[in-house]
Amino acid sequence: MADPLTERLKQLIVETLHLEGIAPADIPDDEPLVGGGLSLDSIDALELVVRLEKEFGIKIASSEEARRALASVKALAAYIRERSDPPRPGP
Amino acid sequence: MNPVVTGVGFITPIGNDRASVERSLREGLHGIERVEFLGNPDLPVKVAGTVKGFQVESPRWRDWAWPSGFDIPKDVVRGLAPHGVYAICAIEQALAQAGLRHAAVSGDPATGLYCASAGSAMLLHHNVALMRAARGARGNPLGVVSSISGTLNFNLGAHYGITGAVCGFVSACASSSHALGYAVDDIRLGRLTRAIVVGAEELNADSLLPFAHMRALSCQADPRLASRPFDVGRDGFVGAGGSVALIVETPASASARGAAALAEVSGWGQAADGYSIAASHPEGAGLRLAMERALADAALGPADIDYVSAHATSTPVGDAAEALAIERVFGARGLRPPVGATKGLTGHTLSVSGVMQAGFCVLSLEGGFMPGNPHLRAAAPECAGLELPRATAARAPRRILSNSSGFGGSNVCHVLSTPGTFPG
Repeated sequence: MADPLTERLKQLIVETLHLEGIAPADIPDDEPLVGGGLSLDSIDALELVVRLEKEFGIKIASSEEARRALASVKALAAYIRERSDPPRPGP
Repeated sequence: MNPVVTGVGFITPIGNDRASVERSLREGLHGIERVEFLGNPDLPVKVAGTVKGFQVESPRWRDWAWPSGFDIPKDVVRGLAPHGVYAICAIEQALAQAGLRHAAVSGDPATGLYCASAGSAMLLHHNVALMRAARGARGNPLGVVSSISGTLNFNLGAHYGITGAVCGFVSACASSSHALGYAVDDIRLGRLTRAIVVGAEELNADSLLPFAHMRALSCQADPRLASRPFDVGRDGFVGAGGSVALIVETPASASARGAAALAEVSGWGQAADGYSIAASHPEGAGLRLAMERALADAALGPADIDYVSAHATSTPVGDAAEALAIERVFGARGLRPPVGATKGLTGHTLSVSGVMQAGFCVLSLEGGFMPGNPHLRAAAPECAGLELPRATAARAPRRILSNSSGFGGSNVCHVLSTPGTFPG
């Protein structure tokens, strides 16, 4: 069964970055978000970080941490779950 | 040796290409529309010279759209202000007309870039607000280069790979006239052989409404009555957006490529009022001297001028000052060349104004017409000494004097001529 958090994250990525011709379902769970098939770079990543912080009430403090969080959709979901208060249910 | 213009590009309220701009100028078609800013129908500003075919109202570049046919890559557009999008669309037209590919200007140490814009108040505000919301911890990495004045030169210099010179001018509504003047000087001095001269301004609440608080804007709601340079009923300028780009180069550089010389820039001059932060000198003293210096630089006298392209923005003080200055230069010698104020059709594009008029002058010289003052109903007594035709005349001017004035009393004038008519 699809994990609602990863589904939401994919939707958010498409919305925030206005990815034309890419549907949320097209974004793979395990591929790198930055420098991967979505052609996102560090400036896109920063826009995404701002949106994620707002949406999930988390703080991604440094660019190293952002790189870790955005390693993939799956990694991002795990990152958010670890930091959410109250904790989010797993998949 | 005077430089020639080989390419012109237009994104203006009266058309986004040469053909539609020329038609608007010939037929007196204006580009002023009803607008409402900030969702407030009670604001006294009811009309503006809008740019059609673009969506750049949002501070987020991902929401923007521009006419198909202009390819602006993502990594370029996100560093731009809205008016930077206009500028690229204007430059692309100018380069194409001049027969120049990107590869010909990129890395060429003989090509320079001369820009004019006031920056983007909207993006500056947006980016600073985001930074403050994060209590200084985070901001848009492209916030500086997309919003401060200089945004045009930063972005266009990098995008086009300009290596000869990259510079920007901030003399308010005389900015792009300064850009053209100094480009001409650098070419005459042999420092460069070619220049891209561009002015651009966006039109939104943040760019325009501050002028309402100076009481500089028209409060008329009828687009045909709002921008009426030299008219007895004029009550302020109508704000407008857009961009105009010129390719200016040595005649040798143009002919080596087989590019047609559309017009010659025969001379320019500047002088200042030394009078007020914003208002013109009541007798147009600086503008008069700037006109005389432009004529002297072109080795011409007032009698050689067939048409005057007025700066006239439709403000009570500014138009009166310009009318007096024109009278002193021409009327005092018994001359009454036709005077046309194209801001009646476009509204006032602020820093773009000078290069926009220069672009219109190129069309006039090339196409053989002189724009009139179609919204003029009754000339104000202080402007009545001028020859102010209503309709565009289907007569070819050979030499045009084009005026511009900006806050702080900057005045810049250019003489543009049909190539080959210059005596020297």
